[in-house]
Amino acid sequence: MSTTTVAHHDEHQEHPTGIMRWLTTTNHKDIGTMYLTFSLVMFLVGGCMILGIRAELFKPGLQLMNPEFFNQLIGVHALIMIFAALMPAATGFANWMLPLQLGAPDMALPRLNNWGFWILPPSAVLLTLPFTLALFGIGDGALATGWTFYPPLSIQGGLGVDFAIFAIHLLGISSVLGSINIIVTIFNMRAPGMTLMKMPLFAWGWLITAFLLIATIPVLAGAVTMLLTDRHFGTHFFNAAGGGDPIMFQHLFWFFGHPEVYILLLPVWGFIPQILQTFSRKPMYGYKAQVYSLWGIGALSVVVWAHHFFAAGMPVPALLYFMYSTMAISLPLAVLFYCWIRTMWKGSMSFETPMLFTVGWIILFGIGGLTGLVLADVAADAQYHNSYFVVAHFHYTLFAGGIMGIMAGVYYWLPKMTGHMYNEKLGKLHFWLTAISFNVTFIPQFFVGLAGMPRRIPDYALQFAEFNMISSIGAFVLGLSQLLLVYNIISCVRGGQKATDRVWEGAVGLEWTLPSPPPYHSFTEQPVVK
Amino acid sequence: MLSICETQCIAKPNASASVASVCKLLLSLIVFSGLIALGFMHIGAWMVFPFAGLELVLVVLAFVVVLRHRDDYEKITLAEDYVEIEQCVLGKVKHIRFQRYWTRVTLREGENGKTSLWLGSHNQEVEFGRDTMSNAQRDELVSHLKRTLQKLNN
Repeated sequence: MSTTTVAHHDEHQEHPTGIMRWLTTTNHKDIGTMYLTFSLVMFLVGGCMILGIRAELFKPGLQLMNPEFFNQLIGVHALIMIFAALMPAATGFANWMLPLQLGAPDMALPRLNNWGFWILPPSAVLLTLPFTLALFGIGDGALATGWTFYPPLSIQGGLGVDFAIFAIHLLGISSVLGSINIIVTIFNMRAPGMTLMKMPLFAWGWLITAFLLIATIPVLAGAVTMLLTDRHFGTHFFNAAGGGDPIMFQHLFWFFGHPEVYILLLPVWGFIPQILQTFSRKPMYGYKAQVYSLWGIGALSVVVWAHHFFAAGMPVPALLYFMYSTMAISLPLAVLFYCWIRTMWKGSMSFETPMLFTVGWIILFGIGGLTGLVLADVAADAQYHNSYFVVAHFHYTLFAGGIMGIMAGVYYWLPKMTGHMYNEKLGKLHFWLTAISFNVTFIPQFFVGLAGMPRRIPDYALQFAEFNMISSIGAFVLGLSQLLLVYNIISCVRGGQKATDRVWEGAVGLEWTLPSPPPYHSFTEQPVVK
Repeated sequence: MLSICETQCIAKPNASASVASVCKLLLSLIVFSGLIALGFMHIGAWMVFPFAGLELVLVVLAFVVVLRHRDDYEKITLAEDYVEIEQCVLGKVKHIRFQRYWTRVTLREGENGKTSLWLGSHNQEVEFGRDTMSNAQRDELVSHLKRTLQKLNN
């Protein structure tokens, strides 16, 4: 007879404290918190950059900076906001909420999760370091190509382009590691009884996002590597002087870049319906229709990329194909809008801060979508391309559709994460200031764009002066009002009224069955979904 | 996951993905990403290919790492004169036997409210279903084991 004595121990209940807790943690909630904190910090950094730009554009003429530094600020602002603010925020929510919503004890690959996060801070340093180096006379600042890296400018650019290329590689690795982890978690760690079609919509949104990242990140990685070899190793992939094709870079970049828009939005489209059903106090309308629409949008997003460079010239059949396929995205998106509105229809609605942000989000993101249809039209795009109309459009899509959605998520889940209620009055003030100042900032940009003001210029014709002044005032109010969010988050973390387990009366899902805040190890017992 | 029949109880870790579904998923990812990489290679952007390949290797490895624990299990068999606990981790099977008459089934409560189920005799014990069962399932299993052992021993 062979016997074994196994001592019962609970060492996994213990975890390091202090800095080592955060450096070595494999806990999904700790890593989620780090992602969200990093995202908030980078949101403020990227925001400060754009305030510098709006200060310069407050009046015609050059006031504060030279044109090259202006362009550097624009490029780094975009890269930071997309890769270091929005994407980590969505990944932070995924880390925090997916295991809780799926009934899993943690993410499937916790160590990979830790590495995925800790790659991010060095990449943020790489993006911003050239500014500092330039102060000491090393290099000529950050990349001045805009976030699109288009050659030949990026081939001719200075040290900042190399820094940005390596930063993109690191950010890409981080995104891929996160995506792999999320796919494995969703596929293998769902609670018994939770079939795919019983998953929360947030999990669906993230699953499709992860697939898109897996499909498109290698294309971006290949493109920037080819750019690097063009710059330093004598290749001519994109150098027309050596027989290369600069337009090929645009195809490669936008094959990643267009799905990237949906990569930023799909997780938000996942949790917005959950917020709507919570504050409408009725079941989500059209769950299956929303799942299929998310898949439809994800699939279409990888076949429409060339509408970003209609102006570069392409055969008429290609123009028509990319125009119609781009417009086709509005069909599944219309289904989503219908489902969101039907979820609220005849509901017992209340307008706490998350719901305010969500309703505001639907309206403003709707404007972003409709102006996108205008740009998808080949004939109209020739007029609006490279104008401020485009800038206003993608800020309605990515600030209203992305960041305001993230803010709705922050207010929705903050009490669950911290165990304390945030200050509702400050939250509502934050919403109204954000919504109003956002429109004050970007509606004038539609007008100056329609009137022909090009983007990425530090100086402009006198006819655009008033609208630019209004836009700059709006931007400063928008920027300052975000301090309310920071204050509300910090005060909520430090204390406040105790949050209940369910937090919101109409909240549905496994995450609300746990205490607020959830214990360090979320589900010590496997929940079963019926 | 716990399944109980008269003289046998099996506990397995939860794994919501079947091997077939993971194979289908990986195949579709490989075909989709592969086609994209081949398409770009065709127009001269061959550097997409190694990145896509590397990434797909990582995806496959991630599923291998997770799914290799899929076949882990713990089994209690109540035989004629012994109780056997069989533990399978990563394909390695370990058998632990106690004389049936002397086997004691104990349920203990930990500090965090989580219970633990122990089987043992002669000052030797083994824990069963530490991460694979809920408190309610442990309660159910303890009652079943005690009832069945009593019946068999009489």
